[in-house]
Amino acid sequence: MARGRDCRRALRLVSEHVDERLNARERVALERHLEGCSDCRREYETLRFTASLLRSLPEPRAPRSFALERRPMRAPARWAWGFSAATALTAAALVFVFAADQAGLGRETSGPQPEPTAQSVVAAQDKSEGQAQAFGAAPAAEAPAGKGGGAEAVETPSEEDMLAGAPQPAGQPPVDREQAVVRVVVEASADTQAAADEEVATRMSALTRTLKEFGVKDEQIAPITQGSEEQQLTSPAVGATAARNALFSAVDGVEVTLDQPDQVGALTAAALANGASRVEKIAFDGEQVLSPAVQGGGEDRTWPAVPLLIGLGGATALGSCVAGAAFLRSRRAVRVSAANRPNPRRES
Amino acid sequence: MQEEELLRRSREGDLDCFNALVERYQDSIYGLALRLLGDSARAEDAAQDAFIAAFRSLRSLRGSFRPWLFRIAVNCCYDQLRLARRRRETSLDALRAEETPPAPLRDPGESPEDHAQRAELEMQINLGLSRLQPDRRVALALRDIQGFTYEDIARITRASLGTVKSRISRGRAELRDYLLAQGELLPSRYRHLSDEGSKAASR
Repeated sequence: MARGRDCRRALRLVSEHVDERLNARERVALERHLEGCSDCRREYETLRFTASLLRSLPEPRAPRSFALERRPMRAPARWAWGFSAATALTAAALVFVFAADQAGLGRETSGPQPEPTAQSVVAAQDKSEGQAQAFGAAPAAEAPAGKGGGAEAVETPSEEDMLAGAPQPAGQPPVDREQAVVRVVVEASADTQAAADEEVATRMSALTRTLKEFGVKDEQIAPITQGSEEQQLTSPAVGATAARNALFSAVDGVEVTLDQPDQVGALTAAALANGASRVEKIAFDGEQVLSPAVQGGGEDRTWPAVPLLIGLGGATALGSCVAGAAFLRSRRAVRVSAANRPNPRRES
Repeated sequence: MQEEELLRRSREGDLDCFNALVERYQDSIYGLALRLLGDSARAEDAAQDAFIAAFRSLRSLRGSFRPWLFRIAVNCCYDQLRLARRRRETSLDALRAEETPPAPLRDPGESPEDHAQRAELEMQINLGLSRLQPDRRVALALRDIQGFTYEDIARITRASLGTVKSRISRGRAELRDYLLAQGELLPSRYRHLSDEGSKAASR
């Protein structure tokens, strides 16, 4: 139908006609159609009236002024820049230290240690009592006596010393004894003052009890008590090896709680040094007395904290650089904010 | 001071000159935001954000200032719209009557009845606008309230001219349909339009 087609065309144009956007030819044709078509004319008139209603709306006054004011540059700006730089440097230093540690730098065991720990001092002083060697873990007997600084306390023992009374069980992979001994001396020497045989026995039973508490089965603890009484008492290295076996075969990681801090510390440390995969925590009355850093010696020892710390350090360094860059950029940028003034033109 | 001069100084960082521009445009920017958002608090936020953003990006201004400023304001309104939807508070589609902008002051010669009718009509228009799709509402407000050309609206909303025509046409028709549905609230002349159309046709 001709009229329907005209109406469709007209309806497409009426809105633009309201805005007087049609060219002369379109306008003439549309007006001619509107003259004769009441539906399209109503459409046009109502649209035009709608537009006029919108145009007649009063413009609301802004409730306040949106004027801007310059934000004062704060004094700590320079301080913040220095802080960023310092953080970045510290983070970079951390990364270097941990990367170096991971790479094995500074791991020499025969050279003097420039900063001996209190524990290594104890080990040096107690060498004559043979406790460290008796525990099969830290034979510091070769260390020069009387050196309060303990500079050479952590001396590498000979292979014979290492293996005396501590036979490597079949099937166990060889461990890096050099490193293991160093760590045990450093970390376990707090216990080397324990001299008496009965003390050793106390330690053994405490260890047994502790292992049981941690779910280690009797047959796995048995090797500790299977040796002769004399052997147990005089050569705790057997116990150390057994503890190692028990720990290693029973659980991947174990948390050991002590009745007294020095009861089984040495044995557990020795077990760790001889290849127990890891000990989560050794605690006395809830306070950690053996840090996870003592984790078992061996070339394949893993220390998940190292990559974590490297990542953390890297992220901190990166973050500091970003913060520094943002800071520098913000100094160039104009800082403005709302002045929150009243609108002078707003009628009250 | 001429706008060009104010702009030039503002570009050089003269905040007082920029604030003179703010004063010139803040009512219309706030008014647009209020029509688009239907909420005075959000409209204030959008307007303030727009002026801050405008001052920061003055260097990117090419061409005339007004469409450029409105383009920034429209973007800030869309931001507020997204924020409102994310917070699931009020939305453009659910304008509440109590958030309708206050009715204009009564003209000296206006009777209380006329004033009440005008306020009622304005509220209905705001409600009708709030029911439009945001793109249509923006196009219609820029055209019929702010008086921009179709070409400017296409630039402001980054849409094609054909899209702008369609949005204005459909937006107007939908608003008209809404207002006609509220017939009794409208001025009598609005309601009589169809009669006039019929008369014109019969002539």
